[in-house]
Formats: sequence, structure tokens, C-alpha cells
Amino acid sequence: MNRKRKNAVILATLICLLIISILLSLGYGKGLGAVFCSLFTNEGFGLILRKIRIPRTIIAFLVGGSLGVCGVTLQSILRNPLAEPYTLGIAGGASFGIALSTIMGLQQVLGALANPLLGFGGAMLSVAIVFTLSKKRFFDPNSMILFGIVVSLVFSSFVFFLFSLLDPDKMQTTLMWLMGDLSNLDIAFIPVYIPMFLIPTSILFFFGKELDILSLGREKAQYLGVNPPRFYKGLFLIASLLAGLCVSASGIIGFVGLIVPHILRSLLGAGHTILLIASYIGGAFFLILSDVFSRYLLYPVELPVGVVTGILGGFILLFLLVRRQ
Amino acid sequence: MWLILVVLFIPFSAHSYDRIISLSPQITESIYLLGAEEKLIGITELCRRPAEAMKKEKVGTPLRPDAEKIVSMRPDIIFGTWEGNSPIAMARFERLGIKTHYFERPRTMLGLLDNFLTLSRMTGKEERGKRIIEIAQGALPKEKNNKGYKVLWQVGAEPLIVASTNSFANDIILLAGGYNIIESELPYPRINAEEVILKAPHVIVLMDMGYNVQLEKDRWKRYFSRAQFVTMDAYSVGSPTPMSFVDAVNRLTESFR
Amino acid sequence: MMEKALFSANHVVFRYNHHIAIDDITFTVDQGEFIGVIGPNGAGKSTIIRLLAGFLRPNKGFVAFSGRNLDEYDRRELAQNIATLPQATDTPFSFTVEEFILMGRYPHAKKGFLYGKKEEEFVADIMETMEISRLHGRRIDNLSEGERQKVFLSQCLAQDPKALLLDEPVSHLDIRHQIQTFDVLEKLHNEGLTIVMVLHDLNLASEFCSRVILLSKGRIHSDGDPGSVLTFQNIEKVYDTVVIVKENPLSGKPFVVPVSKKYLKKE
Repeated sequence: MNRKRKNAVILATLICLLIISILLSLGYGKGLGAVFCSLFTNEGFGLILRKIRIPRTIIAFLVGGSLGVCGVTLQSILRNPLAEPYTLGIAGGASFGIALSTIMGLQQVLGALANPLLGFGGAMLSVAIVFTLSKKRFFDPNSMILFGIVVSLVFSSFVFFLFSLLDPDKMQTTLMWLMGDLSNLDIAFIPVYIPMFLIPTSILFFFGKELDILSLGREKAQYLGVNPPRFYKGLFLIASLLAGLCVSASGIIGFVGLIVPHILRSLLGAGHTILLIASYIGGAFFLILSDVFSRYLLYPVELPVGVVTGILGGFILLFLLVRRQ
Repeated sequence: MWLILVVLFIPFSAHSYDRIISLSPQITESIYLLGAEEKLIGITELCRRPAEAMKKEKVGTPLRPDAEKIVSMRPDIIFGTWEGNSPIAMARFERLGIKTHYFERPRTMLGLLDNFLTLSRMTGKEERGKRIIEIAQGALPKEKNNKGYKVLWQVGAEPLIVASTNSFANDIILLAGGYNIIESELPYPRINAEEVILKAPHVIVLMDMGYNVQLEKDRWKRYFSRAQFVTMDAYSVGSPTPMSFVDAVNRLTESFR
Repeated sequence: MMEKALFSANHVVFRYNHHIAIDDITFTVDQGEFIGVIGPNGAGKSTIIRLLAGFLRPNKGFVAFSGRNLDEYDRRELAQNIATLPQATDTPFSFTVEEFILMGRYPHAKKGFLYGKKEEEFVADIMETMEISRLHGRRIDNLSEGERQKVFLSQCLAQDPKALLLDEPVSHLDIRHQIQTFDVLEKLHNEGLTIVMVLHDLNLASEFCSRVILLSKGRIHSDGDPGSVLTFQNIEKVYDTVVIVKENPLSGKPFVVPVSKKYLKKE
């Protein structure tokens, strides 16, 4: 009873933090009053609100939450609290897709769709390769992690090879995208992205119990009534799809999928159902907050958001690890 | 012509070179402008202007010059720039006994002209160089349009990178009579689009630099229905000669009308 | 005979790659039996458990539970009837004791986000029976070996199974916890639970199991009550080591004493 109360309080706190970060993201520098007044005006701040701040907050929410949930899922499947959305190799594949898109000048042909599409395609390609290889090893975690590392490395090498062929200026897009960037999304895509993100995420919410059991290993999970191959395949694919979407929308944003589940697990316990929900809220909060930093710390200069999450997340993780002993 | 060259060559033999390798596209273009192309024995793969330059022998790229080839060609001097070429590679040439000369990347038009003058001396074309500079300065807009037109100079898209008040392009803006809406210590910062919307520029300069210009135009038009657009090519900022520089200034001034 | 049999293995052959681990084994497990499976390393003991549990499929022959081939059950149904405790269980996350035992209710629980109050009460009851109620709120990576084993056992019992399959559940415990575990198992056995257990300790098997199966190189060497299986002839033949078999002073059951070289008469 005591623990349930405690968990409820933590969840409530997380939701409050999330709301605060959203308000901050919308109203920074102008105050909340201005937000409500200018919402429908056509000049200055109203324009900024509707065309920049709101869409950006929405995407940070979707991506941050998805990264959190994805991290939890992969940590359970791989039975490793240090796994995170990019452990299975999508980073290399996605950056390869983007580099390809830049070299082939696909933006001239496909417009704003070029980079997200190819980024996603590249991510899915590396997922397909890792999946096929892992299947033969019955999704043994160590093998999967190894395959993920190797596949990512190979793709990254291709990316550097492409870099050496490119003019230095053309590398900018790929480089910046490797550092994570929430500014590039065409607003038109948002209505499409919203269901694309929310549907896989909601599916994952339903499998908290199974994630608990799967973390006990293939054999024991089977003895408890969970069919490991079916679940490994399904969860792996959904989590990879989600991670691929994140990467295609915003580039590679690290640490969110690692830090958020890690911290929340020590606060809430390892029960996956609560962990999934809390990690969504926590991930969204962390990314929205990081985005606020990236936008306004050095205004008007903007930092890549992946750099902010990396530094913030890195320090937090170090602090936690040192504190443990 | 020959006699003049010989005459010029003798007194300035310490300053003028006959077998020149250029490791920078802007230097290559300037050499052609000076009419000194017979002295040019090697250029990089990226030196694409003017068109006749493509016929010259290629010695690699600015960042990776083909050392063996260069040494075998026995040049008098290698020209490069601090930003465009690898100092390590250049140092290696020095050690091999080949003279190298660095040009600083210009921050202002004056710097550009200064480089050009030095280059003209080192290729034995000082007279012509001086004449070109005069023409260029003469071609600048006579009256500075002091209406304070606000300009955004976009260097990159996805992410949004602009030329700030601390960049070379800023000089073009100033000479054309406008002012740069982005103030920063960094010459080419990546910025928050909010600042652009807040400052509402009159003119947006887009560059033919690998991003989709039409796409950016459409994006900006959504916010600024009355903005003017000017498209510059990458050379005008990256590898300018006095002529291309002045050309850029004039085009910008045009857009202010 | 068929009605009472809970498990039946019929001419089961199992190969790991090219090595034949189980070489044509046939036996039945009746309801209510407490069977100890013994044998040297590599004899196939763990494999037998895994075959009975449905984790491995025989290359030849079949295993049936309650008259139906294991293949015909879906995982959930199987888990409602059989609880298996393998030699090792991964615990990368610090679940609490209750959370952990609650997972045993999964096969019976209704679909939904959380386990219901009924399930939680079931778990509380089990914890009382196993005398670990005081461990409530503790994390599973923060327990002594004996406490941990009780928690694992509780998770199995939470499945409310008809049969319990155990692979060396006490090999790493001290004698106190070994006896404690067996006392609990005996109690459960008396309440009707069928137990098949793999173990190393011949004397524990002798003491607590009603039936002992001695495996050797993938085949059943002997099968029967401890008195008839645990003879020095059988043991020396299968384990290739000299033993003396005495009588346990308390129960009268066979007590095996391995003989060191220093006691052997010089030939």
C-alpha cells in the first residue's frame, strides 16, 4: 500500500514537471499571458507560437516519450539495464540513409520528405539485417547486441566514406542530423506523425506484464506462459519501428532512452507497466526541457538538441554511477 | 608581351613565380582573372571556375593534395588558404623544399582586395591586378541606400545556418546599404528561426549550396509574404574574386528596389 | 494405469547437434509421486526436465501430459499446470519479492494492465505458507541464497500447478536451507503436488523421494524406490567410483558414502 502511494506521488510529480516544461517551451521569454493572447494573432509572437513553438513542442513530446518507452522495451528484451534505442544498430543505418539522400541531392526531387524518408529507410534496413541475424540465434541478447554494434559500425564506415566524397558544405546536414535536431520538421508532417508515433507506443503499453517476465530469460519466460519467440519478434519490431521514426524525425538524440528508464526504475521499482507509462512522461519532459535549453541558452544561436541531452544526460548518469558506491 | 614579362620578372624575381600550383578554387579563379593562367601548372578537383580551368592538370583536392604528383611537377610555389587547406599537408611541402604561400580567408572586402593584390604581385601581373581592383571599386554602388534594408543571409538549411555580422558576407550586405539581422560572434552560426520571424527581414539571400532553394523560398514565404529573394552562388562567399564580389553587392542592391 | 499418469515419455530421443543426449527413454510419472532424477554429469538429467517441461522437443518419440501431447498445449495452458524452476534464472532488474512472485500468476490472470487484488492476495498467502512474509518489500537482488530460493519456489507455487519440475534447486544451498527446502517440498507433496526433481545429492534423494530414476549416458539405468536403486553395484557402475552404502540411522533409507583412494586395498 505504501509503495503504491509512493508511486502515485511520483507519477503525479512527473506529470507536473511535464506540464511545466511544456509551458516553458511555449512561453519562454514572453510569459504565459502572451501565449494565450497571441495564440490566434497573425504577427510576431503569434506566428512564432503557431509555426515554431507549438509544432516543436509536439514533436519533442512524441519523440521524447517514444525514446523513453523504446528504452524500457529494449532493456527488458536484452535483459540489460544499459540498453537503449540505438543499441540495435539503427543509428548507423539511419545516418547512412541521410548521407545518401544528401549525396544524391534527393531534396531537389522529394522536397522536405527526402531526409526523413531516407533516414527511416536506412534505419529499417539495419533493423532488418539485425533481425535476420538475431533470429538464427533465437534472439539471444548478447548476440543481438553484438550484431547491432557491428551493423552500425559498418554503416557508419559507409557514411564516412560518403563524407570523403562530398564537398565540405554538403556534410553539414548529415553532421547536424547526427547530433539531433528538432528544428527541421515541416509542420505539414505533424498530423501524420502524431498517429504514427502514438499507435506503436500504445501497443507497447499493453505488454508491461510480459516485459516483466521476458526479463527473466527465454527459458523461465516460457515456463511462465509467455511465448518468447513471438514476443521477441513483435516487441523488437515495434520498438525498432518507433526508434526509426524518432530518428527520421529528429536525428540521433542520445541518452533519453537510457537515462529516463534508469532513473525511474530506481524510483518506481522494476514493474514494467508503471515503468512504461512513467518513462513516456519522463522522456517527453526530459526532451522538451533539453530543447528549451538548446533553443535559448545561447539565443539566437541554437545548439543541437542531441548535444544538450548528451551533456545533461551524461552528467546525470555519471553522478548516479558514482553515488552508487 | 614577352618583353614586359621579362622586364617585370627580372627586378621582382624574388616575388614572382612561373610554375604555380593552386590548391584553392578562389585562387585559381583569381589567377585566370589576372591573365596569369600560363603560369598555372596544377589545380584541384574542386577548381571549376572558369570553365577553361577544367583543362588544367589536377593534383587532388584542397584537403588531400596528391603529394607525389605535385613534387614530380616541380613547382616554384604552392598557393593555399588557411581555412581551405590542411596545414599539415602544406608543412610537408615546405619540408620537401617547395615554397608555399598562405592567403588568409578575407573577412572584409579590403582583405579580399589585399589578397588579390598580393597574388597579382606573385604572379607578375601587378599592373593588371591594380587595374582590376580599380574597376571593381568603381563598380560598387555609388550611393549607399540608407534606408536600412534588413537582410537575412542563409548559408544552410536543415539546420538553419546563416552568415552573421561577423562574416565575410556581411561586408557585401553593408556595401549594398543593408544591415544583417543576425548579430553574433560566430561567423556562421546555426540559429533559432524565431529570431528571423521576430526581425522580419526585407530581403532573404539564399545560396546555391546544396540545399533546395525553392523549398526554402516556399517556407519563408509562409511567414513573410512581402520578402524579396536573391539567390547567390556559393562561390561569391566561399571563393570570391573582386569581380564576383562586386557583382554580388550589386545584385543585392538591385533587390532593395 | 493411463488415467493416473500425469507425464509420460515415450521412446524419447533428443540430440544436441550430433550428440545424443537422451537415447530412447520411456517412463511415466503418476500423480502424487515425488521423483528424484540422479546421475553423473552429462547423463541427461537437465535435458529430461526440459523435455517434460516442453522447452525442448524430442527428435523422436513424444512427451504427453494428462494424456495429451505437449505440442497440443499452448504455453499459457501448460504454465497453468506445470511449474518449472530451471537451474538459472536471469534477474537483471531489482523486482520486489511480491512483484516477482506475482509473475507466477500470469498464466491464470486476466488480461489487463495490472494484476488484480485476487492475485495479490494469492501471493500473500503463498508468502505466508513459505514463511517469507517478512521479506515483503525487499528487492530480489538483495536476498540471501536461501531467501532467494524460497522466493523462486514461491513464484512456481503461484502458478498453482499440478506438477512441479525442479532442476537442482538446492545444489548451492547450505545444509540448513537444503533441509528447509525439502521440508517444504515434502509438505506440498503430502498435499497432493507431483514433484520431479533433478539433484546431485544422492542422500537427499534417498531420504525424500519416493522414487528414484538413475540416468546413465542418456538412458535409464535403474528406476524404483531408493532401496532398490541406490545399491553400491548400480552406483559404482554408473558413477565409476567406489562407494559404500549404509543405512541412515533415522529413516533406515540407504546412505551413500563415497570411498576415497586412500581407503582402497592395494591390489
